[in-house]
Amino acid sequence: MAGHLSVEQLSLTYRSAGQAHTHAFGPVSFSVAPGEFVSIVGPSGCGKSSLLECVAGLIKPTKGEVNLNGQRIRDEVPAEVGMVFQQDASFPWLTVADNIAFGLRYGREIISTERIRFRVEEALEQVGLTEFANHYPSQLSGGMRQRVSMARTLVMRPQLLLLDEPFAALDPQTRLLMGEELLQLWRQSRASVLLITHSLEEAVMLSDRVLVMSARPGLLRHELVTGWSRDRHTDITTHQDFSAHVNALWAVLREEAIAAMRMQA
Amino acid sequence: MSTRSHRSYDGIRLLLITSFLFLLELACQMGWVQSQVMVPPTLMVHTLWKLLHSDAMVADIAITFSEAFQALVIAVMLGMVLGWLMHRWSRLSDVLYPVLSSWYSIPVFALYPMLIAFMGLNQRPVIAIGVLMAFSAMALNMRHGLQAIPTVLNKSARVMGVRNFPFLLHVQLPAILPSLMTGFKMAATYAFIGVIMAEFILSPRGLGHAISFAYNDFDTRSMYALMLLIIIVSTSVQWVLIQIERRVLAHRATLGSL
Repeated sequence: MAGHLSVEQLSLTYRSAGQAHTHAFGPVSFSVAPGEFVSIVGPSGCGKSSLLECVAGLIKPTKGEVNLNGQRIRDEVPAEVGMVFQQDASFPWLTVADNIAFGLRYGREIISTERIRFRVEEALEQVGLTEFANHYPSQLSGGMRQRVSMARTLVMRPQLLLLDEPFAALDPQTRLLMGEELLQLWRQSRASVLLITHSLEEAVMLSDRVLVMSARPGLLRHELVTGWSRDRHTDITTHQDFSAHVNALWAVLREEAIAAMRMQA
Repeated sequence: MSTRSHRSYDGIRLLLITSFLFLLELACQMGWVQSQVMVPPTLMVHTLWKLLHSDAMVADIAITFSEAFQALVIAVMLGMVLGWLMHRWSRLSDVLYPVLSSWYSIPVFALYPMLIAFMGLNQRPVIAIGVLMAFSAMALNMRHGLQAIPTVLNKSARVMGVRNFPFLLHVQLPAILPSLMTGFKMAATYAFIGVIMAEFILSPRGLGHAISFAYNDFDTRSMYALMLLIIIVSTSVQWVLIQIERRVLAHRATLGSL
């Protein structure tokens, strides 16, 4: 049952200084089966990122609960959860290898130096950064820095991988390549994945299941099961069902995107 | 920014300084400027060399350095604590930030008589002036450094289970290092200036007093020699700090500093 996530009636209302309450999202309920790849798409500002941070235990939800393998996640991030963010999160003062070793060195568990070195080398190889082990983030491209973040997360061997638009800042080609690598890493690690993205193509290409969120306050509007096999690749985009899936998602999302634009105007 | 252009700028800078010194030397030697007004640079160096052989002068220099050093240490500690508190409690920041950012409009030296009344006619008011001059730069940079840490770094650390002391030591401290270095450089300069000015006004000892004494005594040579010493010392200290900074922060993309 490793990596089984269940989210029940989760909602978040926050209050920023001197302003009225903002109902960010919810109540939403969904689950991610062990080893499943689920994406959430939704218009800008629908509370997707907040939802992911609630799932991780970074933000305390107003109502509802999050359970991982039957254990409730409260205000601390459990060891089984890994997370990659949209922004560059590599520590600029550490080399690639030291960045990847960071969580193993200073995190929850006490691990021997030998084991740390072994696991870091393994992770470097997985993301193809072995040659760059002693480089600093400032010497790397955006795509490579996101690989560092990915390796730093995978080295902790999470059962649930939360990805908050990890490729959003990358160019389209790098993005496609990273998607390909992500699929491979997902198959190897057997972790469950919950990905947040703006890109419908990306969501359909990578996921077993796609959830569509509405404009704020975000609610789950639609669920699409892609039906891809586990050893899929990015060339799934040429599959006969691919366009139909993307169109079906857009049909739902279009209304919400318009509603979100009106709200911002 | 290539190393090459750095070097050529260094060359131009050196050329400017040497030609200025040469012109000054020429103007003094040819009698274009009166020797009571200005002495030639070679004579400044010569006088300084002689002064450095007198025990009294060495004692004065030692006093100034010790005072500046004490002022710097206190200012850095005070500034770091204050900056941290301001980061921690935004209310405190709301109250203090406007005061500290306009701090240098306060004529700190006007407080000197009061400080003497409180602390007595000894080294303490001198050190206090140095502290008052230096601490706000440190506090502002400390606060700025903490505020500028990208939230994503804090979140990542939390997800990896790095909290409390390891978080402080391995995330916050290295992240604010560039700001701390900037604050430290400014604090070092201000502490030195503050101490020398305070000595200049009312202290019976120290480098500042020695300059003031030479000035009142129409001893132009000693006055310029000591001013040269101050310039050499403060420039060297800055140079050393910049070298350390470059080495420590070699691989950083700039995280921003005041």
